Amino acid sequence: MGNGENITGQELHEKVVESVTAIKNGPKVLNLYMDVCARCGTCAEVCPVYQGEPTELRNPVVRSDFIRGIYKKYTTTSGKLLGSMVGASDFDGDMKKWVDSFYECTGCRRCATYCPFGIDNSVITRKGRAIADATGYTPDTMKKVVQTSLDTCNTDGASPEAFKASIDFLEEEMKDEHGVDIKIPVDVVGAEYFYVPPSGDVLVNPEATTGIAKVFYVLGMQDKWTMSSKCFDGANYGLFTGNDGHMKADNKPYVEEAKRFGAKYMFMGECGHAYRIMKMMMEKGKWWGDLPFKVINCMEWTADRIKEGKLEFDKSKNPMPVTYHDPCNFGRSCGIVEDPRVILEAACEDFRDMTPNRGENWCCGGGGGLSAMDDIRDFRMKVSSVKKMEQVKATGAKYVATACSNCKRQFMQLIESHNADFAVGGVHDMLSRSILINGKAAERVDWEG
Amino acid sequence: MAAPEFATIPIENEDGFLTEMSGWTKEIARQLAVKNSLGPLTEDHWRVIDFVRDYYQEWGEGPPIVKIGKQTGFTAKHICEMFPCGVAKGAYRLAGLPKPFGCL
Repeated sequence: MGNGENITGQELHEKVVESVTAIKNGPKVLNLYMDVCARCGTCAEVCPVYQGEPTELRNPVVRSDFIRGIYKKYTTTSGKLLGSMVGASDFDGDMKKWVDSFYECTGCRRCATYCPFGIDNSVITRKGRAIADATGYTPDTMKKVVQTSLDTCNTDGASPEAFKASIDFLEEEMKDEHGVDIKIPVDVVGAEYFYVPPSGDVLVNPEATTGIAKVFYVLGMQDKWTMSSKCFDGANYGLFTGNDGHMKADNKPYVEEAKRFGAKYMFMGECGHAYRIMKMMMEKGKWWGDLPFKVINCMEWTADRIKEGKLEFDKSKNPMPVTYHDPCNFGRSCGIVEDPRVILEAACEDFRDMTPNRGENWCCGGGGGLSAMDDIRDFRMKVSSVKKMEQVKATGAKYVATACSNCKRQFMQLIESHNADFAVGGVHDMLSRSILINGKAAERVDWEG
Repeated sequence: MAAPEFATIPIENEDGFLTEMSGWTKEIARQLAVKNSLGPLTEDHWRVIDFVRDYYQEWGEGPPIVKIGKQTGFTAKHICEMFPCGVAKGAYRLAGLPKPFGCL
């Protein structure tokens, strides 16, 4: 983790207490979370981390009490007078424990779904991480991702040239698959749809992007959309480190790029947290005032075209049992739950839901940015993912579709470390393999062998 | 018993990736293979590793997984068998590429 090297113990204590007491004058909702917890333990019963391996520090109540205790001690009369009798406590100076614990919460918000008071512990987690960030204690892996993204507009530090090389390759692939020129337009001013994927959907597992290109092609809308050679990664780790300044700075070039193109739609790809930031935070919170475009996501858009009967499929191209893992940020946080299922049911022969699903789905165990942290890989493989693996196994699925690079990375490592017999990929990946172009599905080399 | 057997592997991070690509040699790739329990490297391994390195040197980025397959003519299954620690990850690691960031 970051070591907060420029800060003394006393300064750290002052900073922590100051940040926690500031909650009093901040957003009402966080104040409420400080006051109303009944300590009933429901959150622990539904938490993927606590259920994976219960320890005291993994109990959401105990974790949130790091902050709640300080809040009570310094801002409430009862806390000042009665101290620990009413749950007040002081910051004990152990920032390592603080950081380790707040980076063991996947921010999945399952607790918020079940808590009788609606307490969303992920908000408290984000506060805890924000305090760690302000004192220099953000884990180095996370710091690096944030900085790379601020410097290059993508979390991988890929150049526009590398991006274009990938796009050229994808166009060649589609030519091989269908024998026609299916374009992925880049930097087209005047395009209506500005497609913003996670960079993984271009650089690593690009079938989601070819799927989207094929939909535009079938609809005769090849000249209506574009990607940007500068802004091709909606991922924004400022959400995960709790640093609002970074989150907004990371977001800004994307909004400017959409304006430069004169786009009518910011067309978000298969990345849960990127869509959540754009839709629920940036657009709703009017970070940059009124916008000349609307934020939509690719799954709702494609599902609507399927419902209108505009897309046709050869399902036999996807004969294996397929299930869908709801990324927490798409499902619980944005309510995008039916659209991916519409696409998968149209594109695959044997779609099966896992239980529970939609807003009640178990987190993959890598949420909240944890998937990017290989220093806690063991925890992700053996603790936070236990419930998820049980769920997937019960479906018998051979392909887990999910609309999030974070979840995909977690699943790929799970498959590797558990020797599991299924593959993971995107939603539009399945569409790309079975959608009919001029009456025919892709002639695919059997890459999976 | 030539000297390369004792070539020092440049510092690796916790996921087994080299932190400095410039220190890479074929001998280091062989040692990384041993460390990752991949057994002796075959000609097929080298085709993947060489392609990954060439692509990285041209574009500053590892190639998409499908492109590795296309370029080498190998199926995913064959590549997975060669690099059981993950198709891109295994090959990138041995080719001395830096560890991918974020969700990649």
